[in-house]
Amino acid sequence: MAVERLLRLDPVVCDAFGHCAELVPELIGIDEWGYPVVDPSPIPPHLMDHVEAAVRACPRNALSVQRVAASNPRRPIASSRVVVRRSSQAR
Amino acid sequence: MTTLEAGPATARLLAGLGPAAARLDLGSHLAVHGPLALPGRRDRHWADSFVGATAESGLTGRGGAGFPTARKLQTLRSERRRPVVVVNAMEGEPASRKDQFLATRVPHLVLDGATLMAACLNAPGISVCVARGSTAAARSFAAAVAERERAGVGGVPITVVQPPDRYVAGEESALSNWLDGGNSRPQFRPDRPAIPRVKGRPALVDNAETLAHVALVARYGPAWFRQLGTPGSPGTTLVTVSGSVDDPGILEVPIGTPVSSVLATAGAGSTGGVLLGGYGGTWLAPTDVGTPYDPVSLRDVGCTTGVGVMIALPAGGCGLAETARIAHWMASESAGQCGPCVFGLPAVAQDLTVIARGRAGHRDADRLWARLGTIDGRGACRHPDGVVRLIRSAVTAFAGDVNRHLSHGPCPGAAWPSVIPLPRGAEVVEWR
Amino acid sequence: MLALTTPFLWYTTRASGTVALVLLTATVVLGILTTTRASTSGVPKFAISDLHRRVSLLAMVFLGIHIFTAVVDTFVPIGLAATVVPFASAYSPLWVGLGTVAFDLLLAVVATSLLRQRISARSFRAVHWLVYISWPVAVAHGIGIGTDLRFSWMQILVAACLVSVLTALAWRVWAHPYRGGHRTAVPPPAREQVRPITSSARTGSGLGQGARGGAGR
Repeated sequence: MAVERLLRLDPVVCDAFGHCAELVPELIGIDEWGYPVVDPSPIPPHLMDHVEAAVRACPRNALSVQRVAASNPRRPIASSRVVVRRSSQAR
Repeated sequence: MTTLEAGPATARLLAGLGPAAARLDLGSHLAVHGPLALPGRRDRHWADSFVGATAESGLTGRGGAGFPTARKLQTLRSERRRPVVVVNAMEGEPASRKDQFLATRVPHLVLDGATLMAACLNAPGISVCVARGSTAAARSFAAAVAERERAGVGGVPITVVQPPDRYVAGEESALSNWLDGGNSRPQFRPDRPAIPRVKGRPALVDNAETLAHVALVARYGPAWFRQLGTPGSPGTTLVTVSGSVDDPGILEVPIGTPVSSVLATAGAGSTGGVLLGGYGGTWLAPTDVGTPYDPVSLRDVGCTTGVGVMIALPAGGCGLAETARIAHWMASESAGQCGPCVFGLPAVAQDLTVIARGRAGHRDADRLWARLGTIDGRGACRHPDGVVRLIRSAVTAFAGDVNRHLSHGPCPGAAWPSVIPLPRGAEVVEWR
Repeated sequence: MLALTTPFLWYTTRASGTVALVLLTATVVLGILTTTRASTSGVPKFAISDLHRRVSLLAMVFLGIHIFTAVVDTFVPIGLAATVVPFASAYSPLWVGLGTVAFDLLLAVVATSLLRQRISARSFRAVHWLVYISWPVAVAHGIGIGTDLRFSWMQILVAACLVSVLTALAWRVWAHPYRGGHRTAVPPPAREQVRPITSSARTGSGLGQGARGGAGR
């Protein structure tokens, strides 16, 4: 059974510290208010280490990796139709 | 078995209500619908046939999501622990009055449905949730519970509880969190669809109107239920019609009735557009008012049924200005937990306000559109998604108005008084 | 009991205590900087946060040396109990006791930090705020014990520690006010005229007096 890993963000505890977007910018961008926009597609294996670093770095423990069966992925929270503007400094 | 007439003002839920629509007490309720057939003790055969009948009826939830009622029931049945039944009569939508109507006129129909669900699931109890501000509804339910106890109707204990009067307090996870002793804020649930839990037990949360239909299906059968409505969405539904109509109120309509017929019954003339579903719903353009009121047909014109709200804009009224007012109000009703909602909703509301006032250019419109894409789906609940959907549908349905506002300034309708009820300001701060 | 004392132990206690205080101060400043969400091009936000954690562990190492040498050295009678029981030391019970209090609080903070993924976010934050008690108490311990306070370099060092934390706090409070949720970013517009909606089964009354043309009440 193929297992996919999805990057989950708890938007309630997230407090826009922005560490995650610095550590894995390929998957996490920042919106204009400083909050992370998470790529909902499965995490590519070569980025797993960076993702784990981001999960550990979050001061609010807002990030987690969820394993789902590839045949039946649960619908992720983040939208896939997102316009991401990478801002160099979250206000 | 009663024969109930078909037509735009069909009476199934409303059966037995006279012109004054006085409350049906237990005696009147039983006179109209007959006795409630509950199994004497835990009866698996009865439960199976009850689930089968509900599934065959094709009944879908009337609380906005439109989820098949039988499927939710079956999911709860497969849980190991005995579930609790929660009646969602919170009705956070200010423009919707159908659940309060059911509560104050035909409470026994709602309680019958809840009792049947509880019997099927072997639930230890039922919680009826009524918003704190709806004192009449709470009183009516409490009186109905007392009537049933006195008459020995049977079924598990029913408690009436009143969570805070917030827009999002009726959301499933907010409701279960409050019942669990927390506050009325929606909870982050990464696993969807998640079964809400109250004190460790799984909870069947159903809208009050859904349960009323369940009670009718149990009495008259799924074939009877399917006599009205569409094959995909059978039955009738309650619609709260308001706005620029002569005869506002609650109508029971077979699903599939054209929107224009419903409005005509409520005494509407030509309209500038119709807000469907609720404040997180969609706008029906004036050219589309002939669309049948069912999920599939409405989806083709970019609309949803939601909780049966129907607000008619006057001809010449400004849908953009009204949407901007709604968006501001919805922003103030945010639970305040998630950044995209807390910051995004006021921002898009302000963008739309500037457009409605005719002080915006095309770049402002582009920025609004981009922001809508950014906010969508990034909260813990669907509140920001609803606002995004509302604004997107307004810009689509009133596309001509948008261009006119951007190039020529506001239309006269933008200055007209609002037909959208927006109760309470941000002073109400209680969440527990 | 074996009398173990050499000047080496005594100097080590004083030196490691001083270094621990400096590192603890740096930890507090870095923690405050993390909350400001500030960063430079060379030092991104995650680095400040990471530095905060690493410096705190280094501080604990030096704190461990400081406590160990102080207990082992029989020059001043500080028993083993005094490492965790406040005011149980024979030598200067008040000032050593303050050091013990600061250390106890830090133990709680470090323990919750190491178990951060397993405990609730609220518990972690509640315990973490104890550093705002622990750090000033540690400074008071350093000043009160006063072993090296006669040297001007020590006075300058302690003053620098105080100034750096106060400056960081001031910057945090005035330049970066907390902007978490539980409020709306802009106030809602003035209350619209509320049109009462009363229920009716299409009997005409209620839902306001909505009229055509928008000329309602």
